[in-house]
Amino acid sequence: MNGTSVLVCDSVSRSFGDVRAVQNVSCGLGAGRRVVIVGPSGSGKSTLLHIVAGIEEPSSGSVSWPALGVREQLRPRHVALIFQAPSLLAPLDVLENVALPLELAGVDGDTARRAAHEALSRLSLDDLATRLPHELSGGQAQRVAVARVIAGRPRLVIADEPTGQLDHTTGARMLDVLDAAVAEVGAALLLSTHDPRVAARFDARWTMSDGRLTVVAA
Amino acid sequence: MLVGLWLRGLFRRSGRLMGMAGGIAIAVAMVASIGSFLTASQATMTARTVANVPVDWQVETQPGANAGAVLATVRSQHGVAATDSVMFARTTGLSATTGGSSQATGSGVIVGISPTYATTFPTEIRPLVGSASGVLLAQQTASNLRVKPGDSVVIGRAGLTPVTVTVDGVVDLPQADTFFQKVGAPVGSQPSAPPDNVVLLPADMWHTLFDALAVSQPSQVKQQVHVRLDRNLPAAPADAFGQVSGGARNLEARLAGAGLVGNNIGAALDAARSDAAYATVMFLFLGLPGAALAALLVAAVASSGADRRRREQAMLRARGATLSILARLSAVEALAAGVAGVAVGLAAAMLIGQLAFGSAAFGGNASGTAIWAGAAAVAGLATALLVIAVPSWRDARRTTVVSGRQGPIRAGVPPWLRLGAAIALVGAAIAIFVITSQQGYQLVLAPEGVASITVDYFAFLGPACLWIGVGLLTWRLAETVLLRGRRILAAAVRPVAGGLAATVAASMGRQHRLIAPAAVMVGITVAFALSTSVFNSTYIQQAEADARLTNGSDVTVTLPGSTTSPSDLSAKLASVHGVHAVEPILHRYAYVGADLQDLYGVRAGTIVAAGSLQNAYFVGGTAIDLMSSLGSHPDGILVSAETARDFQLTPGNHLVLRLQDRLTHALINVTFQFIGIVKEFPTAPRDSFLVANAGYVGAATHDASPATYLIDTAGTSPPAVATAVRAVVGVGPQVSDISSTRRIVGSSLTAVDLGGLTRVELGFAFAFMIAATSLVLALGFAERRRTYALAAALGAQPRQLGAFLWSEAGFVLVAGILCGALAGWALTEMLVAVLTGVFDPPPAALAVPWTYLGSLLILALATVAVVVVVGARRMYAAPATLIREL
Repeated sequence: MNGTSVLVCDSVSRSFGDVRAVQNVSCGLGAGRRVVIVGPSGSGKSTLLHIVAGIEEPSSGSVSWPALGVREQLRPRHVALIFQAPSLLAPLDVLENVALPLELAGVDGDTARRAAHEALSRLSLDDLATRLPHELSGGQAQRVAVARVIAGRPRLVIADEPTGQLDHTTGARMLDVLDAAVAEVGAALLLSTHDPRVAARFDARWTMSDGRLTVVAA
Repeated sequence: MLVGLWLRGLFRRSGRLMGMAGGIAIAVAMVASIGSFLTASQATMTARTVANVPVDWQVETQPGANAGAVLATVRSQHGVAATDSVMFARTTGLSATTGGSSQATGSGVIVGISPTYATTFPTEIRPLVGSASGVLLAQQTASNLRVKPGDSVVIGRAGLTPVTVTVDGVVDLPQADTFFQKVGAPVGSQPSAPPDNVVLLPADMWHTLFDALAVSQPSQVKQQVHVRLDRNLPAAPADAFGQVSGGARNLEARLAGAGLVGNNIGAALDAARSDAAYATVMFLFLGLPGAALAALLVAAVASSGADRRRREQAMLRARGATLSILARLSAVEALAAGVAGVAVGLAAAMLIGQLAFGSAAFGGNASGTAIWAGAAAVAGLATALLVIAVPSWRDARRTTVVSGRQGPIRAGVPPWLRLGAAIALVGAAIAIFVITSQQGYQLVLAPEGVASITVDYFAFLGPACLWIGVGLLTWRLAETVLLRGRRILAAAVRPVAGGLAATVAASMGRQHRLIAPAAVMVGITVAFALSTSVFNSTYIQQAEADARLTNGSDVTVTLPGSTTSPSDLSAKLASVHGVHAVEPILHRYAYVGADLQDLYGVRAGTIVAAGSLQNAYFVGGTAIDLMSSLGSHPDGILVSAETARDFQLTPGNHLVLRLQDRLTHALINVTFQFIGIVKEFPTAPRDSFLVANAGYVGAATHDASPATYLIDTAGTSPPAVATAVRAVVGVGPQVSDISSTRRIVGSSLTAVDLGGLTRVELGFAFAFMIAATSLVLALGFAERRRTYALAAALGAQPRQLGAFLWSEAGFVLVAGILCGALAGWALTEMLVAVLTGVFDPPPAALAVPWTYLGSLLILALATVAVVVVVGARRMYAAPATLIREL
């Protein structure tokens, strides 16, 4: 798997004081794979996602991204994130938010904005381009977050309960968009949820409980 | 219960609370410090004023009254600490024969004093040579008669035979003007000149020699009771003036016409009252903006947490909290910040007093300090309620649960700002300034002898409008650049933001409601620091110029009027240790038409440096220009503007003066060529005088003898050099040094150590600069930490996060400094014009303390650098923690 793996975790643990949020997790994710992590709140899903996204370092064990490079090279070029809450930068409009990861990756402004326009068009969000985040509904904001993922064409998309604050219908529509977008760019998707209906959309499922990971189906 | 929980929550998240408390502490410390300084200054003015009064009251017995009864009445007057009788008799003339020649003087005054007089009134008589008691001759009289201790002097008595006395000593009468004053002269009348010839006799001897004259010619004799009061006076000069004036009137009423009171201490305090009023005005002009700035700082800190507060209020209301509960919680937050700020502020004020003035009470009394501490505490708590509780309560009333949760309220530019309020206020300030400064008004009016003082508070309106106007103008300009100048902004931030420049500019534009007020805070701080420091420097510069103008140089030797300067005196002076250079100046009297004016003969090539001549002393050119012109015209002369106007002189005109020829003692006509106008000159009087070439004046009058020597000590202590010079020149010539002159010429206002106020104010300006740049920026960054955390989570590197922070901080700093510098300059010009009464002479140019301002700029840059670097690192390190909250 190493040749095409985007993620390899080996005995990864993460503690916060006495709390062991992630315990001895070993797992791997191949390029283009779609995996859901399920588990109750507080089971350690978010912490594990932060570790594999390179935002947080494990207390012990190792994590690597064989097909992507070292931690410092992950974001914004190779790994994209979607959060539970609207995660757009308040002082930037929709177009600027979508273009931001590209600009952070060193793409010049005009090219980044063109790519952002294309991404928004693909999700039929053109009319929102000049809106500010606080002028969007929760569903619109999450769709813009998906557009931001598309624009960056990452190799790994990490979504931490992206439908957690949306009603079922809006959430389902958002996941449709996300699925299509991930498929289009050929990225691997690692998504956490505690909603069985969301989990049911995935073939591969990892379960977390008390910081421990069980690979139910791969 | 809920209040306790809320408080615990506030303390757990203590950064913002500490910021608000810190702002209140600065405001409290500033008000308490400057207020205490003002009280202490006024007490100092009173103390220094009365300390310079040699005799508090001179009660003159009226013709026919019983001198003993007058003395008894005076001694029984409340507040009288000591009395002494002084007798005056007119002499028809004095004569002496010394060294084979006889000298005679005109009329004079023979004074009789008791043996205790010199100890009761120690500053009236200064022994110079010989005994300090017995028959004493005034210095000028001894010089006129060319006598020394042991010589005999004949005193003429009208209608009686002359008597001969033996001189025991020679004394100086430094307070001769008041000692020989005409008691009971109408207010505002010209002071009478002291007599040229004075002999002091022991009271017994005086009675032996002049009691007969008192009987035969009573008009030639008078008696006074000199009084020293207990000096237990109110601290403020105006109150002290009221007390001593009331006492004097009470005594006159009790004397029922038997005596008139010469109220010397009242006259001195009368003059100090306007200085005290000016000191109060200066406090208001210089101190109030600082206190207001501190309040603004608290408001800025409080408002930077407004979004957080709205979200919390929304949450509380969603859980059933009523408006009344929210109001109580707001009040608790305000009081927590207010009480902590007041406590820290008062402690800081005491510490400042101790460090700057050596006493926690700023050198004043405890009650004055306590009053100001109380006032500062009330102001601090009121500020806390006004800027924390009131906006919070307003938000609670206006914000719905839904809008509060949604985050920032995006209001546009307020209508009062949009409608040109800034321009209107600045325009009003300029108009008021022009009106007040062109009418030759007096800010403080304290009519002589009248108890009331009038302060023209209308003049405050100009600076007040300017302060508010420039603050709003800075805000409006910053808003305009942020909202409409995005391309310019992007180009400006490109050096730090690189490819992110457009995005950074867009981000800044949409955060105009946070960034523009921060620029205003920095701008007002810069304006405060600039106006305060430049005003203080100019004030100190002019006080020094006043002393230098009066004394002429570091040390000045002035020969008595009738004395001819020894030809080798200049060389002798040059050889004194510590003397760097000696500049002789001729002094003559010249008739211009019927006017008798002082004429100074100078060496045009050296006087500019030796006399520290300033350009402001001349009209129509610099000091160097006009002295060069004088040097190239041997018969050239500079006259006052008044003389040029009165005699309709234009450059090149000939002016014929009448001068006394030394050989013939007759007045001769000497023709000069008018070449320019002089307004001020070292050692010259303030009214009309003339300046010409010493060589020309000396040749024309056959007298090249200098009357004055200006001595440059080049850094050596002037008092020490003056002492050494006195040893060389003897008792005749008067030797003065600039250190002593500073104390003498300084009004009671300038005599107050403005340096202390300067240290306090400039120290606060430093504190404001740190607070304005660090607190406002840091709290603003903290408020948007979620935004930056998201950017970091998306992949922004520290350098890229820094681009956002550097750009924002750079804009705040540059906009603030530019607007603040402009505003500070305008405010200083306005302050100097409005407070022109405290300057003597008026400044030709502002004195800019570049070192201080440079330090302030470096401090601002360093603070911003620290805030941005630390901020960027914390933002980059924070995402995991913050993202968990998303």
